[in-house]
Amino acid sequence: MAEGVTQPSPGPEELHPLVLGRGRFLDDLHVPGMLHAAFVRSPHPAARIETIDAGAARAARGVAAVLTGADLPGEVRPIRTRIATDSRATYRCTDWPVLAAGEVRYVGEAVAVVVAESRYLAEDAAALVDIAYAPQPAVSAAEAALGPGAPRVHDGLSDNRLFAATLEAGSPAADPVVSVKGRFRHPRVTGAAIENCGALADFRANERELVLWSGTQIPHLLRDLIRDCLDLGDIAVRVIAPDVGGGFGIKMQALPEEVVLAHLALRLRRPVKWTEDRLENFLASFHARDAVVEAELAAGPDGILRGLRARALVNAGAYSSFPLSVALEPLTIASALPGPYRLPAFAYEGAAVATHRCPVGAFRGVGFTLGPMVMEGLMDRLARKLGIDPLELRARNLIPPADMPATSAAGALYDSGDYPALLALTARAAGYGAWREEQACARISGRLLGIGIACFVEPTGMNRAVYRRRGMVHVPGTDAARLTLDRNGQIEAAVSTPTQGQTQRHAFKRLLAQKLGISEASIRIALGDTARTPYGSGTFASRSMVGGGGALLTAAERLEQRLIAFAAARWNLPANALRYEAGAVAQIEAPWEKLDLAALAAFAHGPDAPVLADAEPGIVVHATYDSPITPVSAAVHLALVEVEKDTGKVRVLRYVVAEDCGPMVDPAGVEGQIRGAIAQGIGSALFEEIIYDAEGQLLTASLLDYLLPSATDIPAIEIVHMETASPGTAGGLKGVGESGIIGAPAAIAGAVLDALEVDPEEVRLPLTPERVRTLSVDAA
Amino acid sequence: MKPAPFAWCAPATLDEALDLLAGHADAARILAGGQTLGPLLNMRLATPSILIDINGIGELAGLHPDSAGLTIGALTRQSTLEDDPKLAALQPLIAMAIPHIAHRAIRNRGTVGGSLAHADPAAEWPALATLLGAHLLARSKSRGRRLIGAEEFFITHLTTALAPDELLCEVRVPPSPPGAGYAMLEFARRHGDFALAGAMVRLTSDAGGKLTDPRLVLFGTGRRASRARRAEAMLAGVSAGTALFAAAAATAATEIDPYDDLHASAEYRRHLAAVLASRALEEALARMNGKRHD
Ligand SMILES: Cc1cc2nc3c(=O)[nH]c(=O)nc-3n(C[C@H](O)[C@H](O)[C@H](O)COP(=O)(O)OP(=O)(O)OC[C@H]3O[C@@H](n4cnc5c(N)ncnc54)[C@H](O)[C@@H]3O)c2cc1C
Repeated sequence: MAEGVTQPSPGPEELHPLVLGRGRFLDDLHVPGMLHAAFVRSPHPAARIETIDAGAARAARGVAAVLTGADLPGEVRPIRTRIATDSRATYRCTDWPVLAAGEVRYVGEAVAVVVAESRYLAEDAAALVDIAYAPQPAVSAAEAALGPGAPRVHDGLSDNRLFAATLEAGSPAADPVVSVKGRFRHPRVTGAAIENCGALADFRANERELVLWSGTQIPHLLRDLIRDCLDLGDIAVRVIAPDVGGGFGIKMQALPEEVVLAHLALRLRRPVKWTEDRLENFLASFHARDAVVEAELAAGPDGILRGLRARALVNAGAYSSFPLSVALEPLTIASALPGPYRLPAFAYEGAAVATHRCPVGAFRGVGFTLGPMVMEGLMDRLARKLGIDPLELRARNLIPPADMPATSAAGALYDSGDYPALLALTARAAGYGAWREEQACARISGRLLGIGIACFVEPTGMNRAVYRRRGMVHVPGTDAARLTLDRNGQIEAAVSTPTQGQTQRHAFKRLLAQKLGISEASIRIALGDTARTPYGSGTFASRSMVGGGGALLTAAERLEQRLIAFAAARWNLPANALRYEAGAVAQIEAPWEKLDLAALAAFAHGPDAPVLADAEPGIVVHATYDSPITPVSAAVHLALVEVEKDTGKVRVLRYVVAEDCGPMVDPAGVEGQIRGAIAQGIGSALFEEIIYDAEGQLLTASLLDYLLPSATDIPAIEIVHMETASPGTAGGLKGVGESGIIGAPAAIAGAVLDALEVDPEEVRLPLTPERVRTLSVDAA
Repeated sequence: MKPAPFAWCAPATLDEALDLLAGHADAARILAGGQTLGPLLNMRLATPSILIDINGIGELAGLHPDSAGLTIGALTRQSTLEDDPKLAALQPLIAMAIPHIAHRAIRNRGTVGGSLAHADPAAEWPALATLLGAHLLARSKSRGRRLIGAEEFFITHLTTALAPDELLCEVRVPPSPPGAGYAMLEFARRHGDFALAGAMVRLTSDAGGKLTDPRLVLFGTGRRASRARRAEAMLAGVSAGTALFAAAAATAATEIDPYDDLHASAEYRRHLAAVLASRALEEALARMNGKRHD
């Protein structure tokens, strides 16, 4: 090793097989006799399917089957995502046929599937499927879809509005106020995981079990959906998520293709694999965001906030995705807008409208990203208007710790946190004052520096009550863990929140080892297999540490009780004479008398094992966890950027984060989450945009046109921490999976506008060099 | 994203390759580094029935400097040039440009000939060949050897003067004039992307400090990389100066025919061309005057 060069830490062992090429991702799986599927996809945004001639494709070399929508028997039902709405919301269900039924509604919609001996042959034959389409008028932009004469995406509905909700709280004070407003447009983006989606389905006739491997984030809910869409009788469905190369929320939606694969395996009685390629991923995996928010913020002359009024419009694409539906984005934007601020009045209208675009789904941060983009954008405007330093303006309005727990203007409970301290910590870590001086000096020499601030909260690990309130009936809101102590004293902890590379195994091991006072080496974590893990919601919305971790902690307490019960039987003592401590059960009166895990395991599996009244032999415990509250993490981001005046190029010079996500089980994992999500947020702010033309044709169907930030575009991210435990969750745990991307677009956009000293009518991301230059020319 | 079926043949000699090309000209594609052709095949945008893989033809690779300049074999990898310590002295502009071509992994496979034959208007090699007055040697069974000047070689977007049965074998670059100052600037969304616009400059001067044969090439701003002849004419024979450079850059920006695409409008490209041309002229001057050594 060269002197002075520090080696990067190798990271948790869990990642080693993945980075050494020893992972087993979906496409690495091979089942004997396996066939390969390729989908034929619509080239039209809106068209009727007149005829399909699959004769040549069926006759092509190596083809086992070609199916169209018409070939699917009636028992293959469309994906139907329900929402139970209250009086303040309306929702219209869209049926999403798993293969287009007579009509296509977006470019890339699956119309037919070809199954052949190899993917090459399947693609050869797919090109031979002859489909006659009658193109229909299409609508691509959300605003256009609401127009009076707009083509309707679903004939059965009176207009294209799929979801609408309103929210009103408080009333703005009547005394004179200043107000600022603006329109904020977040592009349609996607998660762009390294591994695309896909599925492998295999029917095991002996076991009467249909096994579906998929990179899904929601194995149990996907299993529910497969059962809902297919008539399976006594056939069990088992979903297995193997190693997964990134999910980011995109893989928490069920794909119609997954249902088709399950059907194919049953129908053909052969395993069938489909590996989505990048082109398909852009055409037909889930997109996200595509939202515009118009908002107005009112304050007193001292900058104290009086009220916020906002209207959000989300371009939801052609169908409502499973399990969260098109309601997700408008509902989340509503809850995110008030942020960490005291806001006496809030009025909100949000809608999701159907267009002839690919459906949107969850992507890391969901509508929470729009919250700070709008609120922090308006705060900057207010600061400029009032001549108050933007950091000071925020400090004046943050909810103080004395108010905790607080209820936000959107009705969300903020359980804990010290937001003013977090802001002060960030300012100190960054040297905010020095940044302002540097900015002033640079300006004299003609260089444009800008500072962006994002203060925000991140509701994490949402519980059952939140999903019931939102009407999201397909999500239980609970998670679960099962602990099994085996004969050798090893614990298998099976948890319902799978990993997509976030190193939950490592974090869960740590959490459990600390809780039980045992070594991490005696724990094995099982994830991502519905046959091995108990039923639960899955990994999304920053829930795996709160939900999965909470379930583990609860199960650990039950395990202690169970161990005590076995020890009581072994010693013939009452349970209340014993206690569990640091990996062993001890007698309270004679603490040197101990049985450790290995001894208890041997006893419980040995010839003298008792059959306890309330349990089977062996030591197995189970816990389903519904977090008593939805814990709220918080963070502040500060970004320093330079804008090159004559080209509009933006360079991020410094990026400082203060994060409070509660007690950190795995600090390296926490920082990895923050860094990765900020990189994606910088992507949304400066690079990434899925573009459709006005007719609904997708123009960005490859990574040549959809620009992801590369290593050289991401600055070193400096992170400092506060750890405020939640008073309401097991272990005081909170989540952190999305934080970075919630703040980054706001911080970057704010910094660019600060550099240019402009407040355009519309802030439109990504801030491409050309858009930035246009802003600066318009300002001059 | 799997290619349509094709036959693959890997000739061991140039002669074999030319025979194959003669036999299959219209149905064949030459496979060099595959960094462009690979994706085209996978997306079925190219569906040749036969691929002629020239990677086994050793005589097509390598650098040969002599008094007539530098000859670079078509199969020479970009990374071979990048790693060659002699290049910066022989051809400073080429050495400046190579790191801007895609990413190292792509440069490890991508070839000079592939880049020239593909003729992307935003690529560095066509601009280099145009500015440096290179000649390209093509060979075929029907026409024998043809030496084509760069400005005749690049016809338009993805189109060259190569006939379907011709193989590009080498590019010949005349020696760098003594005392020349070079600059190469490009503006891309991310490092390694094709440029939205780029400018290359070579300045030389006579004993009296007057510019002789100034060269300015803009790329990524039209159907092909092209010399800004009117801007060059403004600069020829005069003493260099910043004011003049701005005017020449503005003129150069009127000599191009930029296009709109997803990443930039034509208007923005024209603007960038002027900005880059002006900066590149200044940099080249500083290098010519020995005030800049990077
Ligand atoms: C992500 C990415 C970024 C890139 N960025 C840049 C960039 O910034 N600048 C840049 O210049 N390039 C860039 N490229 C293109 C890269 O340099 C290409 O690989 C190169 O242009 C083609 O070289 P190749 O050897 O790979 O040719 P191939 O892909 O093998 O062939 C390309 C074409 O040239 C033909 N051909 C190849 N050799 C010959 C020959 N000797 N005679 C006749 N025809 C021939 C082939 O038949 C084919 O049509 C990028 C590529 C990628 C994938």
